[in-house]
Amino acid sequence: MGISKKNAILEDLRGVFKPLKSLCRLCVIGTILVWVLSGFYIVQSDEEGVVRRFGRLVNGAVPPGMHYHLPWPMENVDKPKIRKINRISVGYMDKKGKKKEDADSIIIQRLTGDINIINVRILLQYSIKDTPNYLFRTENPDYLVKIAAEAAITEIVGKLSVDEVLTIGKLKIQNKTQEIVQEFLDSYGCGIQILTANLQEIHPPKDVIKSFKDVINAHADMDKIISEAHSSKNIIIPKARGEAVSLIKSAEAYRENKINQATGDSSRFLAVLDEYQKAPEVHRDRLYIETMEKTGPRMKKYIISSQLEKGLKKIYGIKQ
Amino acid sequence: MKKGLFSLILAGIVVVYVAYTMFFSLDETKIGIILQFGKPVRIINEAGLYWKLPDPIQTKILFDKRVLVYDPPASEFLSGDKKNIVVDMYLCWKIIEPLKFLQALRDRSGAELRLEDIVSAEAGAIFGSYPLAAFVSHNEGEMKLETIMKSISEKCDQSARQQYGIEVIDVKMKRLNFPDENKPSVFARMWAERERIAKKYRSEGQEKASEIRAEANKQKEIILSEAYEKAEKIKGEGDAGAMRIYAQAFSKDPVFYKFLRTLQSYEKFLDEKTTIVLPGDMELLELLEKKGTGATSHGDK
Repeated sequence: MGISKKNAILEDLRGVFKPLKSLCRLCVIGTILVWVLSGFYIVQSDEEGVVRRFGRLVNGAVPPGMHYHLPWPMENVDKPKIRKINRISVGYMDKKGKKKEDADSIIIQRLTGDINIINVRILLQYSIKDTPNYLFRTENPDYLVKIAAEAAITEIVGKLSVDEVLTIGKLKIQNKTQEIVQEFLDSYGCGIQILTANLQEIHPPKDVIKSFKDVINAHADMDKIISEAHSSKNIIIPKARGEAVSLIKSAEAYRENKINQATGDSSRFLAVLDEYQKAPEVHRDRLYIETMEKTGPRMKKYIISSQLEKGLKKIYGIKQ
Repeated sequence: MKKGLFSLILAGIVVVYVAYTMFFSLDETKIGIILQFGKPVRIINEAGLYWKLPDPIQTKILFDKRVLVYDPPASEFLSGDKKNIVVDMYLCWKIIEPLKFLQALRDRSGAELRLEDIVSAEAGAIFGSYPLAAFVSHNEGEMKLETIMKSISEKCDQSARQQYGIEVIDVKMKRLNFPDENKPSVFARMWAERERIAKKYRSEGQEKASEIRAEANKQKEIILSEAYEKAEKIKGEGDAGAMRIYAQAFSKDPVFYKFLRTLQSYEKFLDEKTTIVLPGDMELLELLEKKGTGATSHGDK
């Protein structure tokens, strides 16, 4: 192959590539332009931007809006949704495809302070409070919330008796859970704020739930018996008061009666006395005889003559 | 010309390769070790842009420096008072000495294997020295779960730090329960306890109720007897008042009163059933016995 022939081929190639050259340049410029422009990014209203330059944090709190960072691979940005409220339910299986496990599954059972088994489900709501910490301090902050909550419930329920857990302890459990989970999470520095902890379910396992219900019934029975006694007391006492009042009233009536009678009797006596004193002898006899007249007719009477009396006495030898 | 082009391309490739392996950025979440022919020469802790000699002279190994979570499966332990318990724990740990970590464990799955060994050994020893009441108790002061877990995490931290360059930040108890085969006896006890409480409530109700009823009856008696007392007093007042009035009137002529009252009582007690034997010479009848008419007898006398 001669040199001239070689040159001719090269010439041909140049001829072919010549129009491509400007196209290539355009391509290169276009690529660079796209690369430079790729640094523009938008932080949405519920997000916060965190910019890293060569892996190192340079701006941990980019507000919502349009911003620019140096294009890859110099800078990159993360935009977690910091205003989003995340929910995590403790007591639900996290296995895929099996959302809710058996009611009595081991996962929700806890031991109370008096060694009773109780089922607890709690729902936590949380949000991001420190974005760089949320991103860089712990491996899986959302998972940490779940297991920290499980540990907190174990600790809290273990301090309460089963009666407390089922009655007055509910609010306490919620508040304490929130407090303790927050404490745990802060100790890991995972940048999460627990907003609320809500008990969704708290009840004894199904093997013993009947006996717990019976206790509630017994309590109701007790209240019922007591209130019945109270109502019968409320009948007995007013009735007794009524009787008392009538007793006193009748005594008062007796008193008035006696006094009025006495007053009447004495005024009659005084009236009679007045007249009597004017002629005592006459009235004495008259009153005596009148009485005899009044009483005499209704009696059976035997009148013994004084002569006969004397004779009989003589016969029977009775001395005078 | 051709030779020049080829060498240019070759040089370009070399430069890109060298630059690519010389410069690297270290992320916030990572910790790096630079090895020179396999021998560690540099540890990088801070995130940022770094350079090293190109591969294969110097190579880099990166580890996670975040807090990592290890959640081993639940396992059975024996408490100090010989009760079987199932405990599910989790561990928070992080690599603090990457070199030691690299030499002893190489990677994370190796680390988790060792951590599980350490935790189950330490936990077994410590759980065995506390009674069950130290894990769960509603008596304040008796429950020492926090202390127990803290001492486990301290022990784990000690040995992990020394051997593997790992800091164990925290060991926590996620769940505490009895093994399935022990649960029926726990349920039986719970059942019996509930029955006892139900019985107690019912008998307490009876007790309170009869107390209330007895109290009601007592008050009734008190009310009635007080009323009786008052009533008798009032009656006495009536009697006394009447006597006073009688005394005032009758004391003016007691003899006449006696006479009058006697006659009145005759009227009352001499009734149809009375039989009376009268002597003929009684004053009322004296006229009967006299001979002749009353008038002549009067005259005789």
